[in-house]
Amino acid sequence: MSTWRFQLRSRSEEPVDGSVIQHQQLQAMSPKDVERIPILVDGRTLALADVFQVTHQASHVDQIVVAGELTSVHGLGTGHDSGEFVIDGDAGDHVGSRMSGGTLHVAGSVGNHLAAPAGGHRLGMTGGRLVVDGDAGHFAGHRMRRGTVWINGNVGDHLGGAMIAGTIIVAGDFGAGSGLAMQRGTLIVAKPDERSWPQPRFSRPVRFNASFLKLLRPFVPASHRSDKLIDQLVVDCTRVRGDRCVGGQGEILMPG
Amino acid sequence: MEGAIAMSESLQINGVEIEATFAEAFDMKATRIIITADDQQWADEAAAAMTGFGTSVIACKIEIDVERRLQPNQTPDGRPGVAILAFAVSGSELEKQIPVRAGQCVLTCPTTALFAGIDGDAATLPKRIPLGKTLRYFGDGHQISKIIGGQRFWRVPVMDGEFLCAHDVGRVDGIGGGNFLLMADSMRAATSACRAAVAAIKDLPGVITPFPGGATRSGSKVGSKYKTLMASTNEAYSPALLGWPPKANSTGDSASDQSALSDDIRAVLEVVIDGMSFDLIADAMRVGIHAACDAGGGNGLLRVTAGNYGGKLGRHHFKLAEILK
Repeated sequence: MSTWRFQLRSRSEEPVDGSVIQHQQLQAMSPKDVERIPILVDGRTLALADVFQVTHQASHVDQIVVAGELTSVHGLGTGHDSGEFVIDGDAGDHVGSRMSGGTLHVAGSVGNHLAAPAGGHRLGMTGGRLVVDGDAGHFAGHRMRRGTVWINGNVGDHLGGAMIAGTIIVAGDFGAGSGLAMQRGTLIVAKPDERSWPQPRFSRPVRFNASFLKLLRPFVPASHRSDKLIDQLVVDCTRVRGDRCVGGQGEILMPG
Repeated sequence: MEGAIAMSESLQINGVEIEATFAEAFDMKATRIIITADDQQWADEAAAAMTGFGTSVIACKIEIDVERRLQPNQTPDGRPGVAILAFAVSGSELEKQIPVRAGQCVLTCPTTALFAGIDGDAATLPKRIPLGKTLRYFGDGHQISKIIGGQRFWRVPVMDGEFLCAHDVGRVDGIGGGNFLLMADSMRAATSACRAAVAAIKDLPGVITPFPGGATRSGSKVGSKYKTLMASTNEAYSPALLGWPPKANSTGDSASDQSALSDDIRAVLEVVIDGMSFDLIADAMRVGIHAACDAGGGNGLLRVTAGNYGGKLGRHHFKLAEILK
């Protein structure tokens, strides 16, 4: 096993396509080959080594670390399938797009479309564990199919839109239009606000025994506020279900 | 295959003679499930139903019993629980019996949840026994799947909330038929020794004694004069057949008395042990025999022996002299 480290050379406003850093691709490549991977920067094709300083070393874990001021780097963790992917800092859009396994940890905030599909793809995240220590933007979990997303901060609008399955836990605030066109899946939120989901399309809030959340408790990320949220919901939980406009049986769990 | 027994000196524990023989046991397929509930009583009641009619594969098709109670800090959902071990002669039989029993005895029992008690996912234990994989359909489309910690669970809506159930559980190799026989001068003495043995085995991990009270009085031999029966009473250990006119042997001569009992034996009880490994069964036999001898020595327990078929049927031989060293 090994650790690949990608240190952004300099902060830039130009959008960088970080989706080329993929675990399964790196396994068969030498450091020199990796440095030559083509990467799009604002439409121009550069070598990966032009954008990131690449280091590779043996490790006791299978790990990718991307570090630096990454808010203009999009698509990090795309297609991640096993091992650890660590984003050391804030990142751009489409983090964890089509992620299917392993863990992805963002030690900061992310942009829009967390765990959502990019380009012409139909599905977002399909497995694994995605942890965001900070905030997430709009459309988090859009078309998510499976897996668990932990967000320690706030999220924007349309959380879990068109979600197919999976679980998203938000310890902070969440925006409007959550769960729109949601088919299945679970949104767990700390601060219920009935304006946050499309009212006529979801059931009325009912008391719910969420005993299954006890199984989630050991997996709460370290230093996340979700631990208190999970403990609270086990004894005091309300649920709404929808989106009925699409025949959905998704659920939003909240205290109260 | 282990070799023939040889024990030059007679062994005694607390004045009870230990015969120079061995218990013969068989390969089986095994699994462990965990039942939890809001309180211990519901968990115990589900376990009692699940393990009912599970004494012998001869007719029950499964040997199943409570392994031990579990404290809340030992269960996946932090509630009181029970661990159950189940054994069958084939994987397919186990795959048939467990979901049926889980559906009728655990799904039905208020507040219960059902979990896998064998560590290992489909990659490490590819032979799986369905739990929620089958039971989820009771949800009639309202069931919800959750993958937590790499393991799939099902949430099935029921009248007290949701029935939480693991998708499946791994199947492993086990051993069935470890045993020892307690021979006493009265039924009271046999009972006393038997209960002491079973109580000592009760808390040991990885083993069960599936018969009523942990013991059987109907120890059997293979086959019968009736062709439809695969097992019948073991004449050699039946005090009721002591002194019965000997049967003629194949040459037509009168054979000697076939009883394995002396005239002072009035009751024999057999403790049968299934376990997850040879060592666990051997340890349970050792603990059980010592407990029986401690309680029964000088109180009517005269001899301890073990049941076997001459070493021709089961490949696991528990030699009393060796396991009691």
